[in-house]
Amino acid sequence: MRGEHEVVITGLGVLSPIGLSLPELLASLLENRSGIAQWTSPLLARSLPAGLIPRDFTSEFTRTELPYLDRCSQLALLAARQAIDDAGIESFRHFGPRAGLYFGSVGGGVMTEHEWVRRFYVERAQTARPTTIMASMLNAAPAQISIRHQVLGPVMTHSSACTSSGAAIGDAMRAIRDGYLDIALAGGAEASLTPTFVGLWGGLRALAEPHPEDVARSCRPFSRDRSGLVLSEGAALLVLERRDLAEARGARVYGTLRGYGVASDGHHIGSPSRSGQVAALRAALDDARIGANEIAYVNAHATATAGGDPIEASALEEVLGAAPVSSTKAIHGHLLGAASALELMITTMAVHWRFLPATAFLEDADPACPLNHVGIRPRLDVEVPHALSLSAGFGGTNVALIVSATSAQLTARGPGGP
Amino acid sequence: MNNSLSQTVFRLLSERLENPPEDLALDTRLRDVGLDSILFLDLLIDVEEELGHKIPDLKMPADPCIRDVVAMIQRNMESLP
Repeated sequence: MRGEHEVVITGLGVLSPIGLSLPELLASLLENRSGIAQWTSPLLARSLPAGLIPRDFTSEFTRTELPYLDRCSQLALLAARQAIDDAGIESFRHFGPRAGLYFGSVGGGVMTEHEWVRRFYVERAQTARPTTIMASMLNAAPAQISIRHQVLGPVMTHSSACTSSGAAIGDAMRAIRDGYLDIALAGGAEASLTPTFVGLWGGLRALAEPHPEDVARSCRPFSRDRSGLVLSEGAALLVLERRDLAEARGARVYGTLRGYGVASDGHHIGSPSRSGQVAALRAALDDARIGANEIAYVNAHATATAGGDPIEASALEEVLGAAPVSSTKAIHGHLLGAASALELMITTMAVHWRFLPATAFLEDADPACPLNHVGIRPRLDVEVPHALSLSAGFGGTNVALIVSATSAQLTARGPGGP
Repeated sequence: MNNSLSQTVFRLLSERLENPPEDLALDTRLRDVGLDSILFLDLLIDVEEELGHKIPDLKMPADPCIRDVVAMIQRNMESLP
């Protein structure tokens, strides 16, 4: 039985290859600015495109904090700080156990863990530093956020591959809607661009080749000449609140998180299935209590692999018909555990700032992906009453989330785009 | 108290704290400079490497200060066969 509290989005925090803040992310989406660059390692012969954040964040933390903070936790903490500031929250302490944190990641503290493995095998070290386990565990980042910002209710870590942060957001929404929580931080982080992790993915032969003329164009979802996915790093955290409580404190609202659908393929560990995606999409629409024809924008999962994109296109077409679709992965790549959160954030921005993000570089759409593509340029000044973000993960978990404009947002709209 | 050992502890501590060495004194409590029990274990790895001795007996008073750390290390060194 579904609860009845409405859940609104009141804070957004992001560190991504296309922006280290919400205004930077918005500008990149409007200008189609790609964050994909060349990635090299002296340990790998192959040079690859990747969604890098070309900045070291260690100066943001003290010397006694840093041994506990893998880059994944650093990104998560900084994005969480942004989201909390954006929402105008000082601390979660006064919410007690009615504030929660739902976090998704694939690798967690991968860099720290792999460095320990290197020391074990190469240096023959017998024990790790005592902080290594604290920095590398999958729930390190949410634990650090909860300690710093006094989130005293459930602090949960989801890991369902590329749907990790989407499922985290969906479950946070349910906890608020069902009356268990008043407020939650939800999202994900990933910082796994190590030669070992990239080599791990290399075994699948699913990684994109660098574009011969411009590496920034290497990720081409739905394109006929797509060559695979582009690994990225980053963090995206959202503040979710019970609508009546957010309104009572005068919070600015980006949109209503209205629908969550999750369904699994039960098919294959590494190959997606249309039926699971269809089921997730239908579940999200049922949950939001809206019709498929009301969806004005879809942010697709679309990793730009040969096999994945047509299956997703078929699922989207079956459930959502001619709804405008884009994949912003073309400019930010695949953030793995943070992908779903970043893409839901972009979907929320589309609702709030009334535009449809583009699929950059989609000059030649694959006929096997027959969708109503937004196209290579964003469409501005478009009313987006309801928008959907779909994610699909290895293992077969699929997550669809629906964001809607509030009635206040729709009535307050004047002319002009974002 | 072994002055050379004290200087080693001060140096290794200041490398991992925000505080410059001159801020540290024998009476400085570890918690006041942000050194929790896990970071303390991390410090001991460096101390063991520097001195070339294992430190198996970690008994110290509650809420220890740097003087207690130096005394604990010294006690371990003196008990070596």
